Amino acid sequence: MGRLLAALLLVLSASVARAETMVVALSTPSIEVSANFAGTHLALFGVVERDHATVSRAGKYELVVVVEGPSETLLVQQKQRVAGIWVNAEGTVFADMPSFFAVYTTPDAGHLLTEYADERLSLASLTANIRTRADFKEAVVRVRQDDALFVEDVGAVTRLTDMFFRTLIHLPPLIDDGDYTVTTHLFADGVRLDTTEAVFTVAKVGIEQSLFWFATERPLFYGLGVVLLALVTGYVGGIVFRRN
Amino acid sequence: MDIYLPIAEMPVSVLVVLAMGGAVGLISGLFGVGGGFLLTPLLIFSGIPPSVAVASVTPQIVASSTSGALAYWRRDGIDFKLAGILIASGGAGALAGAELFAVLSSAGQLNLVIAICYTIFLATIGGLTLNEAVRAILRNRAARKKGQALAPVRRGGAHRWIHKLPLKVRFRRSRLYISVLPVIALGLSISFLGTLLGIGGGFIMVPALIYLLKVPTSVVVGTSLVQIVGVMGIATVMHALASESVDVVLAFILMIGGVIGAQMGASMGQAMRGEHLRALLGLLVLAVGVRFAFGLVVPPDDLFSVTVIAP
Repeated sequence: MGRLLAALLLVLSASVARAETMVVALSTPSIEVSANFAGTHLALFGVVERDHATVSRAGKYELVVVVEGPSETLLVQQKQRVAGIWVNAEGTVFADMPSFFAVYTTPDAGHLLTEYADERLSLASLTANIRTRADFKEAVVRVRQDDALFVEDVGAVTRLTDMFFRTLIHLPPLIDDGDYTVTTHLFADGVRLDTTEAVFTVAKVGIEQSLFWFATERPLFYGLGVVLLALVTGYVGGIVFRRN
Repeated sequence: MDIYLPIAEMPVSVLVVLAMGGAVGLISGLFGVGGGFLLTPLLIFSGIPPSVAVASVTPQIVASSTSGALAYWRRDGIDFKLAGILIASGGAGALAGAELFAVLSSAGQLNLVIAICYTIFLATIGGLTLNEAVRAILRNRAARKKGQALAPVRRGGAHRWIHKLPLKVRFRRSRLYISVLPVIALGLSISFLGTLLGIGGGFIMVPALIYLLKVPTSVVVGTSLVQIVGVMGIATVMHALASESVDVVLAFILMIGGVIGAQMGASMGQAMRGEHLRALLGLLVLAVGVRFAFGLVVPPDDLFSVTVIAP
C-alpha cells in the first residue's frame, strides 16, 4: 500500500513539475552541394508544447537557436612591417573552432546571450576560453563574419503565434561538409525551460563528391588522372587547331 | 554561370575563369611563353586561394605545353636525351618544391613567399627582357638610318668553367658534349621554383639552355616544352599528394580557355616583329611584378589573417 502511494505521488509530482517542451523541425535533413551550389538556406520551425498541468507564464517565450558546423583549427596571424614589407608575424592557434556558427534569437532575447556567456550561445563565447590577445579574438570573429560563416542575429527568429516560431538558417557558399547541429533553447521569464537538438548534414553530391573523395582518399590516382586529362586536352587541342 | 569547385570549395564564374585562361593563352601563343607566371597571379588576385591557384595552374601548363611539344616533335625539334635528364633531375626538385609548399601553407606563410618570389622574379625577368628588346629596337632603327643591314647580335662568350666540369655526356641532337652537372642543376632548380610558384619556367629555361649550355636554338624551345610537360606532370602529382589542392574542375576550364587562346595568339604573333613582341612581354611581366610589390608594401586592409590549418 505504501509503495503504491509512493508511486502515485511520483507520477503526480512528475506531471505537476512538467514544464513546457520545445519541438523543432528542419525543412530538410540534408543540404546537397552540387556543381551549381552558391549557398542556400533552410527553415527551422519550433513549437512550444504545453499541457493542462503547465503553469501559465506572465512573459512571452523567447528562443535562442544555435547552429554549429564541423570544427576546424585556425591560425590567426597579425601582419607586421618588416624591412618595408608586410609579413604574417605573431600568431595564435584557435583549436576546435566551428567552421560555421550562427545564433538566431527572438527580438527581445539579446540579453540572454550575455547572461549565458559561459555557454556557446554567442560569438563572444567561442573565443572566451582561449588565452590570447583580445584583438586576435575579434579578428577571428570579424573575418568569419565577413564570409557569413559566423552570424549573430538578434530578432531573426519570427514569432508566428505565441507558441509557434520560425527562423531561416542561411548557409553561405563557403560552408564545409559535415554534420551541423541546431540547438534550440526555450526561455521564459529569463529561465531556461527546455533545450532540444536537431541535426542536418551538408554533403557534396554527384561528380563534386566523387572528385573530392578521389582527391583526398586516392591522391596518387587523382594526380595521375589530372595529368592524363591535361595530356589528352593538350593533344586534342593540338590536333584540332593544327595549322599546316 | 557559376560552377562549384570541389577542391577549392567555392563557386566561381565559368566565363570569368574561361576568359582568364583564354587571355593568358592568347599571351602565351603571342609571345611563345607558358603563361603560368601570369595565370597563377591572375587567379590569386581574383580570390582563388593561392594554394589551389598554384596547384591547379600546374596541370594547365601540362596541357598548353603538350600541344606545343607535339608540334616541335613533328619537325624533329626536340633533344629527348637532354629533356630526359632535365625531367629526371626535375623530379627531385618538384618533390622538394611541393613539400615546401605544403609546409609554408600550414604555417600561414605561403602567400608571403609566393608574393616575394613573384616580385623578385617578374621584376628581374621583365626588366631584362624590356632592356634587351628596347636596345634591339634602337639598334635596328640606327642601322636602318645608316642604310645598313641589321647588325648581327653578338652572342656571349663561352662559359669556360662549364666545359671544365667532369661527367661529360654526348647530346647527339644538340651536337653537344658537355658535363651533365649543370644540366642536373638547371633541371633541379627550375622545377623546384616552378612547383613552388606554379610556373613552367620556360622563360628561364630557354635563355639558360641557349646562353649557359649553348644548345642550338632549333631544339631549345621544343626541348624546353618537353621538360615542362614532364616536370609539371610530376609537380601535379606531388601537389595532389602533399597538399591535396589540385582542383581538376578549375584546371580543366583553364585548359580549355588556354588551348583556344593560344591558337589565336599564335596567329596574331606572326604579324608582329620579334623585338616589339619582347618589349611588350617585358612590360607585361614588369607590370605583374609591380602589382605584387605593391601588395607587399601597401598597408593591408586587415592586419589579421586567418588560415585553416586542420579540418
